[in-house]
Amino acid sequence: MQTKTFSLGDLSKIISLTDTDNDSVDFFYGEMDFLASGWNGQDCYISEETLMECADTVKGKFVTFKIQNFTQDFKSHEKDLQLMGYIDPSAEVHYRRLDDGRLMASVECVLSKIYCFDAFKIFHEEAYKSVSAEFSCNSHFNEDGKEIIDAFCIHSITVLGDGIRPAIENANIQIYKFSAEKMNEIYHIGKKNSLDEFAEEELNKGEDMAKKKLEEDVIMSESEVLAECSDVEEVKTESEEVEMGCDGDKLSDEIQLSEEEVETEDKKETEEKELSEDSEDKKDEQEEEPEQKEMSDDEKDDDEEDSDDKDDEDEEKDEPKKFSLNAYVDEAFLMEMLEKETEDNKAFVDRIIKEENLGDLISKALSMKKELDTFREEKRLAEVHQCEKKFAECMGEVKLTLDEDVYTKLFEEGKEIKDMESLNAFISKVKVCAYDSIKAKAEVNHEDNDVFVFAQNSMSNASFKKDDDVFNRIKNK
Amino acid sequence: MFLFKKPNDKVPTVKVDYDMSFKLQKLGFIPYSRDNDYVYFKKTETLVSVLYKLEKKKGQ
Repeated sequence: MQTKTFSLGDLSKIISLTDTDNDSVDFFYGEMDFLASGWNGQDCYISEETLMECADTVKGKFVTFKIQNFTQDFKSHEKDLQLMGYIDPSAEVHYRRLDDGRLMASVECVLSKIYCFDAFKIFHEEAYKSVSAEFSCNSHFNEDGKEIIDAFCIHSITVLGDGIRPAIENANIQIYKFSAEKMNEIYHIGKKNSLDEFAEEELNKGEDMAKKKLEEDVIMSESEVLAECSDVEEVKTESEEVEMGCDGDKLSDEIQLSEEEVETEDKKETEEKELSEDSEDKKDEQEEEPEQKEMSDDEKDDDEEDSDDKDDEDEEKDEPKKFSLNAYVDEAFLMEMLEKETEDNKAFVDRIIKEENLGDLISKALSMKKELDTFREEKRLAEVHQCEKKFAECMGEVKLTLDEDVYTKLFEEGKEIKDMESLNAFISKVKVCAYDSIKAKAEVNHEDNDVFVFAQNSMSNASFKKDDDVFNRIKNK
Repeated sequence: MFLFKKPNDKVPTVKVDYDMSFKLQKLGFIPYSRDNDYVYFKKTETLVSVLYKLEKKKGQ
């Protein structure tokens, strides 16, 4: 029989793994989605009615597990499963509809920290694990040979390790403590954290301050308005006093007369202005006529557009925009602003160059560039030198085989070449010429003896035939 | 889901020991039933071929 031992050291570890003093050393809590309606991984069907009737059998039952020592993870259904915790008999089974249409049953569970500390550690690493229910059931087979579960009685919920597929898709256990969302829910339902209370107080204080300030502003504005009103009233009273000092009829007559005079003067001025404008207009009539026509056309167009109303608004949007004088003013202002920005940026860059020693970096980059250029020049010169050398070698090889005219022609052509690619092409050309000339000479020297002499133009077959003795031939030479 | 239920004739099953059961579950097979000694899986062609390969490997 397997025995479970624990030491006081476990308690200190448990306490070290808990975050607040409110946590119990004995328990940790979780929620399990343990069973769902519909078809499962064993090709068995559980109807929603069966689920809702029998899911309550989970109450008061156990949560089981077994740990694989090698991987430190949960295993699966084993014959020697350990108890991790239980489902409270007073717990409520909740049902919720999943996205795929199934009805999922879920229930809260209570788990032990001390007596399954290894499991607690695993949950501390990962708060979400798959689960599988173990139950006895009554079932029948339908016409298609599929098994339909009529009733069941749950014995335990087994926590599965990673990589083990649960028969019910998405059946899982989630530990509250290690789930941020659930933890918030729990802590807001239960005791409030002192930090939360402090934050709330601060928020309330801030709101009160803001309200007070607003009220003060309102009071200030009211007092200002009242002060202005009092000034106005003073002015009114002064004017009334002045009016009261004069005779009412005389004053009104005088005012009327003065008004008439002002009107007549205004009329004269407007007439004079009109006359002067007419004279000027007559001069400019011929110039303004087409403009007026255009204006009249535009007005007509405007009228037509007004009549078209909303349908033409989209067309107007498509037309190019006409800039007004204000737009140009804005543009000038914008240009000024941009210039100012560029100056600021320039100053900023100068400052950075000074502060970050970018000047040194730039000078270093420039020196490296110069060095690179010198290297490139050296490489080019080396290539030219190599070309010349190769050209000389090639021409030396073919000098004896080519005629003088051809040779000089080729030499003149080749001495201008400075790159290897075109030199290689030239060399192949020279070799072809050399081969042709050798072949031609061989044909000239060819006689009926069917001996083909290649590159031995200095020794004729005739001389070879005349004297077979090699010593004599050398002597004759 | 795991059923404490002896399989009947209508559900052909293959019984394996618990070690083999864990291997099969790691491969994605879902057990149908179990007792103290054996775990029962629904008999399918895939399962039988996998079992054959595993047994062969075990024999080697």
